[in-house]
Amino acid sequence: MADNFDPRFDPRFQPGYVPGPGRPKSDAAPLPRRAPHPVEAEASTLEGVRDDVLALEAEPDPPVTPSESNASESDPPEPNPLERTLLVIGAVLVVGGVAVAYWANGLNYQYPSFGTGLSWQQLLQAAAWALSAPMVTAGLAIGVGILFRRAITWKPPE
Amino acid sequence: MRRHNPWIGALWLCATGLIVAAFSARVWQTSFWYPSSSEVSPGPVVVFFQELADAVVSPALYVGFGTIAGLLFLHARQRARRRAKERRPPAGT
Repeated sequence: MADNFDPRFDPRFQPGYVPGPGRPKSDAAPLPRRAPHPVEAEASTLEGVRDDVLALEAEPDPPVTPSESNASESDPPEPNPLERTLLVIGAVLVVGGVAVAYWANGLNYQYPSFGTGLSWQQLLQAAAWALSAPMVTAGLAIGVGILFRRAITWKPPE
Repeated sequence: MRRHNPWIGALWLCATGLIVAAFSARVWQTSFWYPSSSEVSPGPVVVFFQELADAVVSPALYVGFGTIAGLLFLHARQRARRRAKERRPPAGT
């Protein structure tokens, strides 16, 4: 029977298929059809297949999702708030590291270094000297890291 | 068309600037190491800058050389991507 199309394939490309106007392009169930004259059926089938193929080829691209369209339209993109926080932390680390070292150096001239035992000032001074260089290093590295991030995410203008 | 990434240029500038500035600061500091007997003690401003150099020179050298290493990694990544794109046949053919 001609109505029994092979379910594995698109009925539009099987013999005996007659296209109808406004028919949904679903590959699900074969459509009911009349029995045409053999010559007429062949001509109409070929026409229909050609139309369908042309329609498939002319089908527009899938619609762009809203997030994609927003991302392409928003130029320049919004700055990441965490990036600003990182910048602030980096600047604080650099300035704080230098300030801490300056303060610790200044203590040398205010308190005697020997003969008084361990004091809180000396403890803090040792901690400041130990921390200042890593603080400045981390602060500078944060600034450079933000530049790296921008370099990696940079895209050439269209 | 491949365009020049301005951030990579900024990173190269930053790295060389850090290294040159740190090196210059250290050289400037060494000029105070062996004062002659007739020299008076430098003022508080010079002392402040000496302490600033003490605190910053070493980290600046670390970060400068580290930035150059990172830039080399970045260039290697870009080169690998470019090669892979050239080997892959263009879409639609």
